[in-house]
Amino acid sequence: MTETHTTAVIVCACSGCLGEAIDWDAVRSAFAEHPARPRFLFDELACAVDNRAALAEKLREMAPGRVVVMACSPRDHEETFRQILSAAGINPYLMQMIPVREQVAWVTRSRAEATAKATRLLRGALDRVTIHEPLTPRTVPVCPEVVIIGAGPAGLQSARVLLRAGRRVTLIERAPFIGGMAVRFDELFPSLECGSCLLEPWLQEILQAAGDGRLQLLLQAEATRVAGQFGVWHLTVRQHPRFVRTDSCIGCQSCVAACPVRTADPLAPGSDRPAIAAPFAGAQPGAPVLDPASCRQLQDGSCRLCQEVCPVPGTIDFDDTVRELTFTAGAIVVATGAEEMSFLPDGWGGEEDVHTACGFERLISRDGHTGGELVTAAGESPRSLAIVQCAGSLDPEGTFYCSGICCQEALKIAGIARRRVPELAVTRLVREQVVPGPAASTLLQLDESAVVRYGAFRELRMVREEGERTIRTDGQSVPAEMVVLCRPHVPGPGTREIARLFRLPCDDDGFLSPLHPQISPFESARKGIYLAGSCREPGTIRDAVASGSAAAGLVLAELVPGQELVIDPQVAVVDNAACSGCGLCLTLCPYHAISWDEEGRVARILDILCQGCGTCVAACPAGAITARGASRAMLRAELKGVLS
Amino acid sequence: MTVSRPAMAIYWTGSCGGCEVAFLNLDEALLGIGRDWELSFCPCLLDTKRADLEAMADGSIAVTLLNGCLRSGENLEMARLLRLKSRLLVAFGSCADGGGVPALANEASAAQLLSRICDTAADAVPGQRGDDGTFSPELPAPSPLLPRVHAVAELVDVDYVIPGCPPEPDRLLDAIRTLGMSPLPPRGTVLGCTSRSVCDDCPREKRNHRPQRLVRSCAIIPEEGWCLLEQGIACMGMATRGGCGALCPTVHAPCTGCYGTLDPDAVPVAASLSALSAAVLPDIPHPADDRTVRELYRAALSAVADPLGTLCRYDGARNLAGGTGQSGADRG
Repeated sequence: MTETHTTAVIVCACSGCLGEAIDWDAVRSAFAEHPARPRFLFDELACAVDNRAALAEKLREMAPGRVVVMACSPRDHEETFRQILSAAGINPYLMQMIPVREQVAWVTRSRAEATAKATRLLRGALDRVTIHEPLTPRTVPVCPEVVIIGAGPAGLQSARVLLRAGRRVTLIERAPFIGGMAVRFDELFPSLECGSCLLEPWLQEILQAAGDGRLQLLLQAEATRVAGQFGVWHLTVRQHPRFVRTDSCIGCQSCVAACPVRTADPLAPGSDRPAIAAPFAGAQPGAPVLDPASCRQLQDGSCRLCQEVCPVPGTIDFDDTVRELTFTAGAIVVATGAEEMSFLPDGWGGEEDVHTACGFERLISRDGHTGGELVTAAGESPRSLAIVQCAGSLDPEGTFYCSGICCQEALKIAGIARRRVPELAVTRLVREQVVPGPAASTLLQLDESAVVRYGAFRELRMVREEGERTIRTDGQSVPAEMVVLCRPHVPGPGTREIARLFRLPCDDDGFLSPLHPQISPFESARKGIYLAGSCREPGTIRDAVASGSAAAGLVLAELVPGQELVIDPQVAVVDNAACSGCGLCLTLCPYHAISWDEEGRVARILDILCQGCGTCVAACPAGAITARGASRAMLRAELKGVLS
Repeated sequence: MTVSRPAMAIYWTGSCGGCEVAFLNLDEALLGIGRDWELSFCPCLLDTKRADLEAMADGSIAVTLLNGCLRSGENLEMARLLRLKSRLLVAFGSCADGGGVPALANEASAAQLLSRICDTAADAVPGQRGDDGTFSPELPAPSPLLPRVHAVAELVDVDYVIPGCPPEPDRLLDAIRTLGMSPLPPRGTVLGCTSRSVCDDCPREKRNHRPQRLVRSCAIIPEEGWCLLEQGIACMGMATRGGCGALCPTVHAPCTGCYGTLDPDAVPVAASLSALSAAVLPDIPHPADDRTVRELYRAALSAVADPLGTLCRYDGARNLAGGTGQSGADRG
């Protein structure tokens, strides 16, 4: 007679943690007559690497039909015990684990209570495990391609590293150009290099890769749906029309000159632009973008001037439409960035010559409407500039954190402004100053601004004194003909949407949380999704490039071509005969694993997308969906055992 | 040579009489039933009395269709008597199957119900309460109430179930034919319904839409041809056994679940509640804590003005949620 009708009960004492807490002799004797014929195997520390082989050998000799493990917790060591079962030649799913450490030993008040509870849990597990069925995982090859969301410095650097390693990359960018915030500024911290010039070689490298097919560049695009897991992400992307083909446009700008429309320029307040134009000077790709809201042809079909002057036929395409693209990738790098809080607080907004830091930089940008000249709204050269740092930061009722980069921004702006208007009286109103590192400290030492310390942003008042505007703080008056508020840096709308779409944990302010802030800062909580740049926290371009490199490195190390992905067999399965096609589960699955089978008029679950969460199982009003490995029959048997 | 026909009985305990009407709605098919069966006991249609039933030999009735819940001591006595006299006892209709509408009264104890009827209701006539806790002789209650409403199967062995409030005549005919044939289906089979939900028969189109919140059915005029639930109306079709041909949703009335809970393993209220929760998609911020999610779902489902009557209108006897402490204790 073989032992296949017996059940091995492995009791792991967790280095003495469980030996004393529970009266194991009493537990054992309670099951002397149990039909599952439990045979107990006691181990001091089964998970220890040295002990695993011995335990597997014992199990191989015993050859039980089923196994119950009474040990720490499934989260800690279910996988370990599954491997031990496999090594013993037993299907690893013919096992049920009872967390006697966490649900018994640690939470009971007496040995008697612990023993009684362990006995109940074991009865449940024995009744349940007898109806477990052997399961076999299947494997699929990983997709080595990588998707990067966001084409700022962080995303670009990730793409460059991955391209150099020969990976095919899809780069998704919401804007119609690449380079992110950095390419829109004339002077970058600390050495005042021009952003678009600095990044120009990178942009060309990316456009070159897009041209020869190593990189798929999707501009004006956003991810709308994601399903899957590390190695097999299924993405859906919506791409809005540019109406200008980037692959054939030669960038001659004839169309821009021909366009009769003038509409407000969203990137340069106070300026206007034609309906067809580059977003800003030096934007890459150089092909202009057509704004459908103001284009006469798209509004009423009354104008084709741009198409008529375009020297490359077919480049301007009024029939361009929104496209939905779907593709597969093995890993995703999220580099969706942050932005300066764009609204001005109460008491400041609506006043002339009050700007956010980024707004001020755009105002004095060389391609702005003043051609780079610093003038007030009245068109005059200002005599004083007040730069308010921490304007809204370090405020328990507003943005509690320090963005860490605004001080550097303020120093930069102070320097630029004084160079534009040499007589300008610049005052920096400072609550705290954060200028770490040699570059920032040099700027601080060179800064000639007056510095006024203030206590709370809320107490600052803008007043008119003798015809001059000043900011009052603690009895002091700071001349403030022009005002720059260094507002906190917050996650961009793209970052928030990605967090929701990908179900990535984020902090209260909306920044994406890394797996661990110290030791895993570039991995998200979901395996196969990596974080780069200021979607994690505000940072400089240098931080963005460093984290872009790091994320790409992790992708290269973890997503290896040819690697096989093991698909857990414990997924939800639909019984086609019982499914009524009510469709309730279709929109419910948080992993988008359920689709509609039109032919059979039933729901269908894709095992590579299913994470076995059980949401559909609970919701199915027909009881037609079973969680393999945790069926209703198993749960009922376990409950009955525990409660009997 | 005379071939004797098997005897059939139809009896009502706590019910409205709709099941008898459904039987009479068989129309011409009644002639066939008359040919194949002898209706030996049916106080609603024949002049047969309890004494006639008592006089019959045990097991002499082939099939009894018992409709109605068990509310009073008399209901229970008659159910037991019929069980004794019948070879097959069928729980016929929603009240017999799950307590039906009368089981909504399980929210209150028998004493509370009597007090309301005899003392506090607007039309109560003072002084009509009987001394023994029953109604006075002017009010027709021949025996004390049981502590709560029971489905028949809770107190008497039942062989088959025919669900519906009332069962559809075509389905009832199929079921009666099945009961006259050999071999019989396995004991406990639910007859006269399909294995799929009302949605399977419903002509309305699913568009994979989840409304942000439910609405009361009086608040909107539903779009023709589109699933009522997806329009926010609490239609229970997806959680209900099919067989009725989706009569109600076809004519814009949400399914109230009279054919019973589809999932045989489910606790009725829990099944309907999880199905309804799954059907709505409140606008949940990210991140959101559990409490926020709970509150948002509560608000999204708040249009269900009568939770028990919506989630468990016909299965009240089996309901484990809510109810009086007394009824909970009865179930052990």
